[in-house]
Amino acid sequence: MSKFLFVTLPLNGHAYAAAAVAGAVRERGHDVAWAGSETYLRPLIGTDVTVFPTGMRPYRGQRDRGALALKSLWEGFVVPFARFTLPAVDRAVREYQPDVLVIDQHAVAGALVANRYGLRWASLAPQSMELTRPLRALPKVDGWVTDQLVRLWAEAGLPTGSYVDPRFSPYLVLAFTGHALAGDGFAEHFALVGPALGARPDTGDFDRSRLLPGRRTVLVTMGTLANDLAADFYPRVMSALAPMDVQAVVVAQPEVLPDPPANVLVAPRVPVLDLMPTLDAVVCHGGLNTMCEALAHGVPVVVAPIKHDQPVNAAQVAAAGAGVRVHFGRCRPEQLRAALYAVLDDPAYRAAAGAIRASFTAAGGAGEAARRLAALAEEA
Amino acid sequence: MLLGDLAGMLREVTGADAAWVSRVTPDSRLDGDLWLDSVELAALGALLHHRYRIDLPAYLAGLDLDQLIELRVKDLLALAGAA
Repeated sequence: MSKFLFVTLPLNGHAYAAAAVAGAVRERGHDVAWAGSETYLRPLIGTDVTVFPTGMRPYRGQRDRGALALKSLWEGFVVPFARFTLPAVDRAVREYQPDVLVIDQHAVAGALVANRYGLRWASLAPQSMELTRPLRALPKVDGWVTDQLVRLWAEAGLPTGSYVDPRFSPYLVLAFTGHALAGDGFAEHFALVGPALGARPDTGDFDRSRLLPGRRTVLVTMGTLANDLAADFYPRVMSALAPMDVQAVVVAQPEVLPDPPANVLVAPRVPVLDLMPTLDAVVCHGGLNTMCEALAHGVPVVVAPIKHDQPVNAAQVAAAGAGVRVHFGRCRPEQLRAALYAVLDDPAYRAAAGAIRASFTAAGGAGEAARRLAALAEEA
Repeated sequence: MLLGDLAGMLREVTGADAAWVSRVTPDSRLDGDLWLDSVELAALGALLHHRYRIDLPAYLAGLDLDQLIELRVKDLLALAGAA
C-alpha cells in the first residue's frame, strides 16, 4: 500500500477529476489524503478521508475574459494561492509522509513542496492551457508566466539551478483529455487518460419528470457566469431556443432567467452526469471538464468559449467534427439556433462524438490514472 | 489599408453582423472590446498575410501581456502603414 497526497484547487473544473482519480486510487487499496480547502472538498470526497486544510482563497477574476483573464488568473489567483497554501501543504507532507504527491498544474505549492523534500510527484492537467501550450506563440507572455513560477520557486527556498516547471512533473502528467482532441506528439510520461468521471455532490432536487420522453433534449451549462455576462448571453440563448422543436434544461439561478420560454427549464443544480445519456446536444463554454463529459457520452456540443483554454477546446472539438464553435459575445440567436440544429440534425456530429467516446473509453479514465499513479509509487 | 478594409476582414473572420462592424473604431481593443479569440486572431493573421504581406503572428510574438490587452485597431493600421 502506498500513500498519495492530492493537492488541488477549490474549483469544480479542477477538483472533480482529481476526486475521481483519488477514488480509483483508494479502490486499488492505497491510502489517500488531501491538502486543500476542507469546506470545498468535504462534499466532494466524503467524510472518511483525511484533509489537511489549507484554507480558501476566492478567485476574483471570474468576470474577466480574453488576455485580461490570463492576467487575473495568474496575478490574482495562481500565484497568491501558491504563497498562501505553501506552509499548510508543507505541514501536510511532514505529517502524512506521502509516497507520491498528485498535484493540479495550477496548485503550484504542491510541486514546490514535493521538490523541497525530493518526493515523487505527478501533475494533473484538467485544462488544455498547460497541455497544448498555446502561449508558446506568444513568447513574452509565456515568459511572463515562467517568471512568476521561477519567483515562487526561489521564494520557497529551492535552488535556482535546479528549477523544474511546477506545472510539469518529470515523472507523470495525467491529462483529462484524449488524443482525439489534443493530438499526438506528447512525451512518454504524459498520459492522456480521457475524462475522469466520478460521483458529484449536491445535484439538487431536479425533477426529471418535467422532461417529456421522446422529445429532443438540450442541456445548456455555462459554468458560473458573472452577472453582466449572463445578462448578455442568456437572452440570446432563450431567443434561439424558443421556436425550436426541443426541450432545454439551462443550469442557472432562476433569478437570472425569470421568464424562460415554455420549452426551457431553468434549474440551479442539475445531475448532469445522470442526464447525459438522455441528451441530444450540450451547449457549454468549453471548459474541458464539461465538454469531455458530453463527449464521454457521445453527445455533440455547441461551444461558446469565454476564456483560458476554452477557445482551444472549442477549436479542437470542431476540428474533430463533434461540435460547432460559436462566439460567446457575438453570436446572434439565429446563429446559435443554426449551430444547435446542425449538431442535432446532422448525424455526422453524433458519430464523431461517438468516436471520441470510444477513444475515451479506451484511454481508461480515472482507473488508468490510478494505475499509472500506483506504478509511479512502486518505482519510488 | 484603411479602417474600412480592416473592419471588413474582422467581419470575415468573426461572422459578425454589420451593426457590430460599424462599432469598430481605431481605438477598439482587439481583446477587451472586439473579443477576438485566438482562433479569430489566427484567421485575421492569415488574411493580413495574404492581402498585405503583414506577419501578424511575428508582431504579436513581440508583445507582452499588457501590450496584448491594450492592442488596438489603430496599431494594426499602423503596422500596415509600416509594412
